[in-house]
Amino acid sequence: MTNENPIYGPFFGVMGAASAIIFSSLGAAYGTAKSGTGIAAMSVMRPELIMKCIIPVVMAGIIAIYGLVIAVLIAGGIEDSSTYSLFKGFIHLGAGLSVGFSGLAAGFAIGIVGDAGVRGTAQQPRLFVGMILILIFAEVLGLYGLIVAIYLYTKS
Amino acid sequence: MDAPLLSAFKTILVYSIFILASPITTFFVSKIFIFEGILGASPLTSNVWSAVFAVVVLHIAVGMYIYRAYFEADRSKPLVKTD
Repeated sequence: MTNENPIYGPFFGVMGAASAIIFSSLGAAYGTAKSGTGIAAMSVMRPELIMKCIIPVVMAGIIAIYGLVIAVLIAGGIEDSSTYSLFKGFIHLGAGLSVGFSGLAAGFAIGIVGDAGVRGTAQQPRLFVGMILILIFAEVLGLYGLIVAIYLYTKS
Repeated sequence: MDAPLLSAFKTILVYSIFILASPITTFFVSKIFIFEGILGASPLTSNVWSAVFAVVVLHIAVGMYIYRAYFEADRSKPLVKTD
């Protein structure tokens, strides 16, 4: 055990893997629940639109897959503290936090946009294209976090 | 009323399974068989490129679902009304 390989080094990596999946799942759960209430309210009157309006739920689920990918990557890189430097731990923590909090933000955006979007689509079907565009822009916020996380991970 | 509902449910179920399973399958298959098996890349390289592949496949799957929902839902709408 040296200054570069302290016993608590893997702690940061483990926290990175955990925060990646925890915060992305938080965002995805909020997005699913919020747009799910919108779909439930909308499909009482327009049940034929359900297939179109499931899209916010699918996009919220993708946020969790971003977190899952990074969590699996980090978990694959965690080793015993004798070969795992503190720098690697910091890198993994940063990668996990970046995808986690970006996913949280993107999930919030998808939930709010999806709720209002499906309710509006039931009344004016032309809104659908706009809702998809806004959802895609909310989705790429999570994708930015994923890109930064993968780029950080390559530094370890 | 039941037939269109059932077909919509089947479509959504198939696409959901595809969207959830395809990135995970792509990640592990490309990591174990393609990058580490055939190309013999280092673990770091194979991990990163498998993750990139998985995310690309995921977006292709979602794009297919949005395309289907956008065009197929329009096509099935008059069918629902004639019933």
